[in-house]
Amino acid sequence: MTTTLNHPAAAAGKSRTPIIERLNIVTAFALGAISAFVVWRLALQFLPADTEVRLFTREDKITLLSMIAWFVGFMTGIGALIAPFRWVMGKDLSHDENMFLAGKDMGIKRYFRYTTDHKVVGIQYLIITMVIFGIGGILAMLIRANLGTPEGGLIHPQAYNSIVGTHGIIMIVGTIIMVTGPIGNFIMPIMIGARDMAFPRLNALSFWLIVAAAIPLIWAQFIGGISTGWSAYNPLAGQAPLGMNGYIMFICIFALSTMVAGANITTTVVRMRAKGMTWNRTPIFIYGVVASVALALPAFPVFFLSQVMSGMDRALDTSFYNTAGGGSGWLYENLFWIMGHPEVYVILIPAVAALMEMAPVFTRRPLFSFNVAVMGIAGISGLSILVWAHHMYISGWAPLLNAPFMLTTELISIPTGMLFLVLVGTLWRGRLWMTMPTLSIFALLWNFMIGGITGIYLSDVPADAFLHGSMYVTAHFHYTLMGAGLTGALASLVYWFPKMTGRMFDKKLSWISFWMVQVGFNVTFGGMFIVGLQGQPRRVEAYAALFNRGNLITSIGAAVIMSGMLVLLYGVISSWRHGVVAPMNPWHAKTLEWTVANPIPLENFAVLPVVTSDPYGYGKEKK
Amino acid sequence: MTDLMPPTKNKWWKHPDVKKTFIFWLIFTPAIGIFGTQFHVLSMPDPASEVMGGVIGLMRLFTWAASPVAALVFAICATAITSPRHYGDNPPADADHQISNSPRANALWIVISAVMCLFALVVGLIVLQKDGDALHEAGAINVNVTGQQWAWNYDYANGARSEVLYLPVDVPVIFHITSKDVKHSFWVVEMGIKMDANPGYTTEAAVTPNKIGVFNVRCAELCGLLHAYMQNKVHVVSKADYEKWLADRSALEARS
Amino acid sequence: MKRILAALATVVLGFGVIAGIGTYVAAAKNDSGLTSATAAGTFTAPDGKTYPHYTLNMNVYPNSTFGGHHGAGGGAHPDWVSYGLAGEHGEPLTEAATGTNFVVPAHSAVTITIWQYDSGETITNDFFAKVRGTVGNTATLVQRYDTKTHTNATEAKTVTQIPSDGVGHTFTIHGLADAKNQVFVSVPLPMSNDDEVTAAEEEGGFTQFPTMMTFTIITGDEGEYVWNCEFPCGDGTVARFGSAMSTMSYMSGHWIVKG
Repeated sequence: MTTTLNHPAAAAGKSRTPIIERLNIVTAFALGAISAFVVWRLALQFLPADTEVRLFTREDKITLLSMIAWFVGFMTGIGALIAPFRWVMGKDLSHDENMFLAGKDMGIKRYFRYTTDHKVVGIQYLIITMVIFGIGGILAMLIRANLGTPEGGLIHPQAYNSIVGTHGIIMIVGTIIMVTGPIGNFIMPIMIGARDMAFPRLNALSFWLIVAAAIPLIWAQFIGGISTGWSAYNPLAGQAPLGMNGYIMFICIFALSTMVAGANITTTVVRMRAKGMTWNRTPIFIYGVVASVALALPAFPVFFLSQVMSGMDRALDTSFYNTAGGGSGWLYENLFWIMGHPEVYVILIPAVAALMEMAPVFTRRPLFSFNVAVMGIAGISGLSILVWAHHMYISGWAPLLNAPFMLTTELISIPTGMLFLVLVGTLWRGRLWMTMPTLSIFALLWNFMIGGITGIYLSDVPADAFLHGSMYVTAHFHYTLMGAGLTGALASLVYWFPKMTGRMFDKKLSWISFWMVQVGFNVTFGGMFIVGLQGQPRRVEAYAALFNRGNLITSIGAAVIMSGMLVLLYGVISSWRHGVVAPMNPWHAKTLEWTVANPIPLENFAVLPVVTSDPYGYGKEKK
Repeated sequence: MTDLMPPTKNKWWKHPDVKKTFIFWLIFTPAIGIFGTQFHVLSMPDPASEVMGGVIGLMRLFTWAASPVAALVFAICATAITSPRHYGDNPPADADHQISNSPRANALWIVISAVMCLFALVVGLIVLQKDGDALHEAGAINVNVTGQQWAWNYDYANGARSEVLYLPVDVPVIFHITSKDVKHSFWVVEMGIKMDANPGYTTEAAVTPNKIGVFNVRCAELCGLLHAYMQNKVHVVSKADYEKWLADRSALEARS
Repeated sequence: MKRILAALATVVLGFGVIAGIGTYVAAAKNDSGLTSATAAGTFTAPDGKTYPHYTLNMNVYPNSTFGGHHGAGGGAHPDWVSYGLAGEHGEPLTEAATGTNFVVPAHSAVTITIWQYDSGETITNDFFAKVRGTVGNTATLVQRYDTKTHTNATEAKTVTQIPSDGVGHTFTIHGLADAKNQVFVSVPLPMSNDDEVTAAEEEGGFTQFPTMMTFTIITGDEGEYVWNCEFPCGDGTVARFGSAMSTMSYMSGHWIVKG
């Protein structure tokens, strides 16, 4: 960090520039809104009218340009461009400016700024994850209210299709960031014995990109919604109303956020582990987080590209995905699923790895077979890039490729089985300490087993000919992403809550919420398996009376989940405000984050730790 | 807690935890197998073709094959849960052992997963091959299926066109499926076949209905506003009834 | 205890918020009104069976400025083709609050008359150029109906199909309710004279000589179905099935068989 040269304020002894001080979330929203409005008016005025052949492309262009203007305005307004601008001018931020950006002595205001302290970013991610799940959950309840009505039909088909699509995409984003965001940012650097992440400013960037991305998605709801389901298949997406542009922008910006976070996390873990923390002594949670972002790094650029082409088909009348113009909808499917499959492991691996990290703590014995755990994570990550076309068995694209993809998909069950082995091996002959995270391990094993086995049915091409596109698929992926993924995330929240907030999460509320969510969850998606097997397709807003009972069961279960999540929400708020003050290491765990007392100093460690063993040294030696 | 460890490491199977797990496993395996298969079979519609009968059979087979594995995982969980548990704000004493690895257990687990994987693959490939052969069946009738937002229509070889499918029982039929606009998916539910309808391409699916009755076609790929209503019936009738319907229908179509 | 109560309050509050949002969303239909068919005595089918008889009249306009359920100015999309309720002789019903959701009784005969004020082209899928699902699979076509004198300017003809290159729109009822038999009715609606339609539109009105199709269907068991036009005209969208084609209450609506 070089001090600014030739800066008049520096000469006067003050090296803080007012501009940095002034920028925050309010200026970001303001600048974003103004830019969007200005570009909108300019585009409306100056863009040529559509020719008869290319109708509606003008409206798509106007919408996209306004959204891009929003994005640029927002990022400028939050201060993302300050450091790059300085570099262009041949300077850098001064030490004081960096300390300001890190939120030193800023109090609560630092949460509303472009703050680089990983602990602040972690809390920001926690809040936005909760908001995303809140909105996604409300949308889920609307869906279930509609489907719980006999034969459906409560909500208008247009509104319903958009609710389904929006629910899908924001839950996908929510589950991607739910562990890697709050825990990966707040806890991970401390867990590896570092003072911050490798690229603190990129860290702030990755968070604020998500906030910037959210607005086009909300905007989309008012201009026709997202009528295609979260997978936004073309050519249907090409036909959809203007809201699709919101989806396209949301994905492009979110992809940037993921890539930035991926580069940051990977570099941090590879280069900044404490002295003595060899790969053998690195906690398994770290492996999980790195594998997850390492998977996202190749996958999300492909998603980004697929959406750019979708936008071009709409706004510039290209034909990437239109057969009539020489393109193909199958191109979209391939690009989408090349991202879509690794993406589910991006969601799953951190959650499972977090529970693997907690298992030794709550059984007071070593993690069973660390090497197998690493192999399992690596195996899943590697294989997940080779299985995508199992989402396309029935698309007609390449029937001859169905068999090879069936092979790779079935093979993934081997490394997945390794993760099961590690978990049950850690339960074996341990001394159970019953907390909500402990229960979550059992819940994960139950839910993931069901999710995994139903996945095997789906991976079988002849069975998939019946099951594809039915509610069975929806139930399967909720069992894996929510039953396993969310369970791990909620356990992570309760487990690391003392370190992130300095208070214990209310024990009673965590147990009540756990049981409500888990029981409600199994009722919900058990009912959904039933209607899928009976023959109900996905994404329908009305259905034959045959499916009434299963849908009613599902909707009742959903109400129980929602209640459990509301109890959890209350628990978060009340524990944060007046929960029991936590000791430094309430779980008597052995990873590095528990060696730092709350409130955690800005630079985490006064003296960087030296690691001499792995963090799983529980259990008495056998005589 | 004094540990009930057998005197030598080689008699690991005599450990009470092992015995407990084994008993749980013996109970869970048939329970999961029976519950799992019944859950699936009772929910799925009665099969109207051999293909669907095969799908149901596959579910049974895979469920039974998976149940010992699931049962083992759940048995270990049950053993852990039924051992003395500690509640409270402080942890219990460390567990009595530092078992941090077992190459034998690892190897066994991985080998068994690989074998099950291979089994699932082989079974799948066999059925896949049979379904593939059906696409070239001699004596099959051909029906062109056109998906359009939001209705299916069917064209028969003799010029008959219909919004309902009429098929003769026990005669193979090959569907040639396409779409006029966006992607749809042609799902003949009780016959267990499904194939996407893509604009600009024709895809194929084949089946032999083996039961007389009325069944359902549902669109299985979100295709816009009225996707939920893109459905029609399939009437499987005797060969004679089918011929009569076909003749009547093509006469109707030929009227001007 | 206080915590449990507070948690319970959070749950209640949360559900209150959801219920509020849900009510708002459920109420936001484009055309929430329902039109019932008008009773009209009894009907004897060619096979001798008699049914209670009902009638429905509809218009198809080249835009939405006729008022009706889109409101005085034509609503959010005045330039979109729209179906709406018609008077006894094909007059626009400018005050009608409903217009695309219909309720007809079960096991009855419903005679539907549709005046088609728009022009047309060659239909994309000529399956829909045929009359299907009506009594006798026929309809009565009047190529030019004089809306001023309320008479047929050309002779009424019984048709089983119309030329593929002269289709304006279709009226297609489909969808699976729980009834044993499927409902499927599709009647092509011929185009009116292109020049007359354009000339009338320039003056903010509609042609004096729309086409008129009359047909009768026998309804089956109770159930909820949909109807939509199967001749896409959403220019500029994929397969021309976007915009107006994909928005309820323009060229699609609900068809409810009840009572």
